[in-house]
Amino acid sequence: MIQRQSHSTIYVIDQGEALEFYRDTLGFEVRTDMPMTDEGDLRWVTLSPKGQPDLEIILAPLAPGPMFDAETAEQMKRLVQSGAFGIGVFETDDIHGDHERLGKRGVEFVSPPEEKFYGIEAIVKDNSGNWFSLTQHKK
Amino acid sequence: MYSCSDVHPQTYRSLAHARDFMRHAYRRPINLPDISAQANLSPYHFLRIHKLTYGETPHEFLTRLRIERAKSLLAKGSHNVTGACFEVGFSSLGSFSTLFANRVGLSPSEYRRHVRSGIVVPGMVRPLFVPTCFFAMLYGAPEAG
Repeated sequence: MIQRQSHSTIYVIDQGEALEFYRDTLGFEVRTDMPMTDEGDLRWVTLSPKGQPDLEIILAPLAPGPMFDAETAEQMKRLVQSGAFGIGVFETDDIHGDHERLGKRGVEFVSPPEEKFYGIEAIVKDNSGNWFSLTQHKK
Repeated sequence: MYSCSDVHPQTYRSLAHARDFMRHAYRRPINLPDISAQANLSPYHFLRIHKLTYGETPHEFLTRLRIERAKSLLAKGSHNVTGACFEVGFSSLGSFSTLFANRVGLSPSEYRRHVRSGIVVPGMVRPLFVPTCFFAMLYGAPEAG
């Protein structure tokens, strides 16, 4: 019986650059980083927020494979870059601090922190074009 | 782009260029003057602005890059501890081992043993797990072991 989700996937344009974004800019922790080819150009890379060590978010670069060919991979890259994909919601305990810190690091906010009845929410883009909600809940 | 940055965009670009330099040159023994030259800033100024912008010093960033790469080499099994140490740009086995143990929670040799055997050390190292069917669906069968 399925007990929990252990991995989720984010499609990214460049795996190395995405790793830096999630690890260095957002401060996620790397859970696994394994070269999958001898050249080391394709890796199995997973990360997650510090407080969620049992989750692994896969950074999957868009490349041809059994499920999609080169043309489809290029289509998907364009879709990712155009912001077609929302990848989920991340909870924070300090949205205004994050807004300031991330802004200094050149991170794009689609919408700045806004008061809602449940708390404060902003929409943020990663460096591939994916967007996510950043939410701070009311205490 | 919304930004409450007080780092000038050109400075940010220079910093990003210097970080990119570190990402490609970390295997060599590079120092602060080498890196700050990439940003066209004085070493002191570069260090201060980098810390302000990224919350860590350039050296902390470089060390992190090297340790991550070392973990990858040790996990893959292609390098022993000494080999991994020098391959990632450390010049001293002693300082590599100390830094590694501080950050990873295990010495390089403990890490190499545990991560390859799949034994869980509570609270520290998870067994290495790559769902190879999932990987193969995306990219075809992996070449490396």
